[in-house]
Amino acid sequence: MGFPTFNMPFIGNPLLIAIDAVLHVLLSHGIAIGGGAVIVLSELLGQRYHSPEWERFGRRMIKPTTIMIVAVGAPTGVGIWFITSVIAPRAIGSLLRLFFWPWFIEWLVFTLEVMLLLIYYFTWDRWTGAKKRKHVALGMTWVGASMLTAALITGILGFMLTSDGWPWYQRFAQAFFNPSYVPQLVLRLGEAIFLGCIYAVLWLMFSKQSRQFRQQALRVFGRVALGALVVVVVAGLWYLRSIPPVFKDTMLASTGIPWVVQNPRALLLIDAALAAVVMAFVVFSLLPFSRIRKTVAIGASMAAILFVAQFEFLRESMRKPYVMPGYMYANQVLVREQPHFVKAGLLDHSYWYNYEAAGMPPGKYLFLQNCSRCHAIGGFNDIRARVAGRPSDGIYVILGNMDSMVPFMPPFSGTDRERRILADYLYQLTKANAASQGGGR
Amino acid sequence: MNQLTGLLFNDPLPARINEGLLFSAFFLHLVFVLAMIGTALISLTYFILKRTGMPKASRDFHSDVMRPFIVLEAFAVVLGVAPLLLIQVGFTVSFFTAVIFLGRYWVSVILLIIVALVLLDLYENRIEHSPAGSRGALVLGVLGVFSLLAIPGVFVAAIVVAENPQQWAAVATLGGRVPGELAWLWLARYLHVIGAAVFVGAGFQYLRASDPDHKQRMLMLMIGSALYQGVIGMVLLTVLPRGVSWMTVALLGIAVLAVVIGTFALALSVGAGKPLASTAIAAIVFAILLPMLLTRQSIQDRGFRPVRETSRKAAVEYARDLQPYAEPALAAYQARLQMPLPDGAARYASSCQFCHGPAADGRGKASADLAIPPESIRDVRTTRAHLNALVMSGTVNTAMSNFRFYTPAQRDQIFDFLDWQYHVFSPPEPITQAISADARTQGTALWANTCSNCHGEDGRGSKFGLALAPPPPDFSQYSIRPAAMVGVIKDGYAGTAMAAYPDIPEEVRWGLAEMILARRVSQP
Repeated sequence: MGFPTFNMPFIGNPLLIAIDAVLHVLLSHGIAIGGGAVIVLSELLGQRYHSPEWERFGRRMIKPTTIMIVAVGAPTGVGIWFITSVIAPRAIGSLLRLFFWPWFIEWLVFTLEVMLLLIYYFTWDRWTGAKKRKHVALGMTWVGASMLTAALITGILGFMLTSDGWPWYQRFAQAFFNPSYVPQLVLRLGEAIFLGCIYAVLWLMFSKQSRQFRQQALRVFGRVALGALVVVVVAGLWYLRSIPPVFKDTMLASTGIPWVVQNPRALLLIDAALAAVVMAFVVFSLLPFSRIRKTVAIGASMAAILFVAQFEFLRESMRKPYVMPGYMYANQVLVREQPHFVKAGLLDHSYWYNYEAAGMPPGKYLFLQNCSRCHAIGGFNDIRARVAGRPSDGIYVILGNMDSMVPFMPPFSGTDRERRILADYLYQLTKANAASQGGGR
Repeated sequence: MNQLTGLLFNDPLPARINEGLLFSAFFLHLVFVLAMIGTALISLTYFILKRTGMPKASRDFHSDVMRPFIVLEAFAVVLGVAPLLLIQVGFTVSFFTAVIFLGRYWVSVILLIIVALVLLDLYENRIEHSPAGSRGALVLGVLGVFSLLAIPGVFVAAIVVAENPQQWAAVATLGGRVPGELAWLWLARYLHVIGAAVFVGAGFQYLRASDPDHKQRMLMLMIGSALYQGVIGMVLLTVLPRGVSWMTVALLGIAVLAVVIGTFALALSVGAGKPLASTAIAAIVFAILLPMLLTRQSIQDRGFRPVRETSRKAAVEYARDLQPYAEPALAAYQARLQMPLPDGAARYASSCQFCHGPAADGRGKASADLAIPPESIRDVRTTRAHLNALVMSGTVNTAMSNFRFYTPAQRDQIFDFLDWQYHVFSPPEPITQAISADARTQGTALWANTCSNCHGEDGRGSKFGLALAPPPPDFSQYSIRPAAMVGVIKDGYAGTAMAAYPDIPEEVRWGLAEMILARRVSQP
């Protein structure tokens, strides 16, 4: 198509974006919003109860938190952009134009957020006494700005699954305020506060505190965490309701992880166990007589990280075969463009084909354009494992009926001849394995 | 050429406004980036001088200098977002093409940024708490600065490639490597950026400094870096594209003039031993930076604008080509959205029917394309467990794929449908044909001498048979209707090792079918 192709060495394209995005979600939710909220809460409690311990607790957290937000959180966020620019330029380019203004405003708010954070950080020791109230208010404004950036970006994420009437009417409001927007935003904010509580409790556990303060602070963060957890569960169910059934049907399958598809009950059990760890963490924090163990706190943070990763993974998988439902398939082909490619050919309409394909079989080029956004050759979602054991004519037939056979895959883009070329290429790719692959009858 | 399609062709801002915003946003971003890099370089240099025992650097300047680093890094990152957004929508083709060509370096920038910033923040923290400095701080600082210096290398490369569309074909053919001509341009520009970082960093530190000694040294550093920039500037002139506009020449003239006057003013103040006013330093920095960046911009526009115009023109045509497909595509999408949760019949229709046919007789629309024809499912009599195993593994060397993307519950829906519609889990139908004792004897001999070579005596498949691709079916678990069996014995199964045996008398074929059914172990 219009842009050159990129293939991430070693880990493949899909895993590259997944790693960066999950890291960013953990930091932007858990540290920037959640961490910010618990720091400001600590300062507020310090001021209200004239407690130097609360004050010191917040003060200790602010510098590392600032570094994490600025040096890791922000670059991973921009990183999502960097990575999608090379692996899915058409998708990110289209989303950028459709949501130009939210993105532009998000940049302004983000700049404001960082300015407030820096002022908050540098004035902590200076705005004391009567000015302390002002400092707390400044902190709240900072956290508010962080939440606002989430509110601006979630509209775009929601659109990528529930594009509502946009494919027909192209109205911005429909695209941004789509059916899964509000539930997802509430879910994310609840998630952020919960992660923030875990962050605070880990600080509490691994820093020097008096026993009395630790007990008192645990109860506070335990209560906030419980509230956040309720929000997460309710908003999660609400979010599920907002998704069309056809996407939910392939929720597990579209992950591309066979174990998950074949063992939904085991997955449920694992999630239940993780949920139990999270609940244990909340309950232990709330019980007056129970001293929370460090292992429970660490366990809960691991469980929370796994939940976050799982949610983002499922959300990103579920939207398949689309990246912009009703408009663009996950492989960057426009829904209206696919029949055109079937007629006119993909290679002839790939601007860079003649240059890039020097020394590259055309089948590989067709693979890169049609499949490489989700499949890698080797690594995660290995295409060789998917077509192993199939003869060339079988692959050809499967390619021609892909969107029907596997409902979360886009249709093949290209002429009949190109379909044959890709089938032969994939067959050659797997021929070596085919014999050793024990098959059924 | 169809680089801009659909939304990529919508401009949220008029081109000129986008360009103006892009320039301003980039200017702001660059000021902080340069000050950040310069600051890290200056601090580390002071630190190294201190550790090597140079008497002049006995004060804790390295720590003083580094203190605002977190502010600089924060704004460098945050203010970089706007230019990224504006260049992506303003010069879509140039931007994406260049960064994809340099994809590996481009994505590694994220890691470089994180590593550089975290290391340098830790370095700052170390030297703040122990000003004497440790070896650990030195390692953090050196590694941090090293990573930090790599970052502009990637960005400069992306810009150099984006600005030179005439070289894209060469870059593409080289598989993402940059041809020699561009490599020299890249090197000169990269060195120019580092010089600018020292200049701006020193200017920034001059503004912050209170110690006259330190101030003096920052002035010297500014002069030194300005002279260095002059030398690199000469080199840059030789690698610049030919035939630049008068506008570019004029801007460059102003920039050079600003450098000469600015450096002269700095030198005068150093000679007089009197520090310059902060506003004067800030004015000098901006007076040089602004025309320099405008020059850069006008050269960049030369490479960017024509690409934008040609791709826009092509896009209009392409949009017209696609128009006829718009309506049907939307209608198909709507149908998909309105689809209820699929049941077994619906799953069969979408995943199986194109090969096995709407009547499950193996005559799907794609069956003609296959050397080994799809099975007639309606003739199959087997068990759920066996069918499940078959569907999970697929059949080697046939189009029968594995359907591991269906959950066990979803597969069961399909099996339920097949059983309800075609009774696949019913017991095999008995043979009603009369078979003589003689035919049975012949059949037994045939099985032992011929069939069992592949099918095995017990019908589960011989060692040899199981090595075939596809292997014979397992008759202990599976059979097809007797009439169909007799048909396969007579005609063979196309594309497989199952040959046709038209010479076997009809009655003996029925005898063989009876033997096969007798080998069935598991009953549904």
